[in-house]
Amino acid sequence: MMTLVINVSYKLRIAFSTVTKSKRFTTPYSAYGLLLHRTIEYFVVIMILLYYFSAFGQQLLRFEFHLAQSQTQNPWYQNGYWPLVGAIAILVVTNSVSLYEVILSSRRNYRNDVKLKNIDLLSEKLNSFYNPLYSLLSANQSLFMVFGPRSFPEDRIRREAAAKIWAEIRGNVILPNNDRILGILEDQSHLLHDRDEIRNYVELINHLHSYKIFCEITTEIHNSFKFPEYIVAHVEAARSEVLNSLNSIRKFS
Amino acid sequence: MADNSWLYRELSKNSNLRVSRSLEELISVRTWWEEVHNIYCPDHSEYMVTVDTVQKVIEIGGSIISYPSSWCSCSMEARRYAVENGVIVMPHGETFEFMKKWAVRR
Repeated sequence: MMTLVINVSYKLRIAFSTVTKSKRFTTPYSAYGLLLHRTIEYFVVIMILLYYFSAFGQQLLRFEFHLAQSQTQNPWYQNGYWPLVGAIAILVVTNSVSLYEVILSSRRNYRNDVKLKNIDLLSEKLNSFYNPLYSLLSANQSLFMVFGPRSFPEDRIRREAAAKIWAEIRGNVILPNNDRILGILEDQSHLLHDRDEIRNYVELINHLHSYKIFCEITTEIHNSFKFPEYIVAHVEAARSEVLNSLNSIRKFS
Repeated sequence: MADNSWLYRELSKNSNLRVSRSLEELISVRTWWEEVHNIYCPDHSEYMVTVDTVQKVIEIGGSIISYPSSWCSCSMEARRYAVENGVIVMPHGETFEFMKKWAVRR
């Protein structure tokens, strides 16, 4: 009777979900949802049992003598309350197993979701922060070394040409790159890696702001905000760390 | 080491002024009221005239710093320091104009 009730409720649930195409029923139950469902089922079973005991209790007592007689004729598990106990035990075991399976699969899905989120986050860190920052810083540093004032040749004519080229490169490449670096540091700082900190970039930010002003107003104050030489190596190291984390997650997933 | 050969040539030959190299790093120009100006020209490593440059020029007895504006600039601090210490800082173009106006010709 009890298994019948549970089976009927389950079938009704399936039937209802297929008929109505309701997303609520077609989506897999969460562990807590199933627990609630099972609790309601157990409640129904207990109500039925109470009904059994109250309605047929007296009759059961009355037929005790006959039951004792029948025990001599049938095996023990077919006499008395044993069929009822067996049915309840089967019910409990099967439902516990299915509940355990659901909890396990939920945990597995949760862990997979976390891994996917981590992969997405690390990819965004690389694509939106470390990769553009590294390429822009490297490009600017390289341009400064090759075309900057320190590279001006001694020969007067060549020096003037070099100065003109440097002025063009500074206006068309270096300063726009600096603006992009500042934009990345200001807008994407939430993508800093776990062991990286914004204070590592404060010197760079100061230098970029100072250099922009220096290009318009020639002042020696800019000497206090020189380009931090360590920053390219720092960004490269942080980028490698993010890349390694990403590869390790991909490897074990 | 100052690189003033180009400026020396321009002042002496092209501008036809009476100039001399009193010291290796300075070019001397005499005005018509007998005042001598010693011109310093920054070398290729001094792409910005700074306070240090002005101090160095004062030490060696210079009174004018003439710089090529194509590859060299002058900081605000250096300009201010130079004014306070009686040194004139100007680009080559202004130097030529100044000298043509006031220097003694040959």
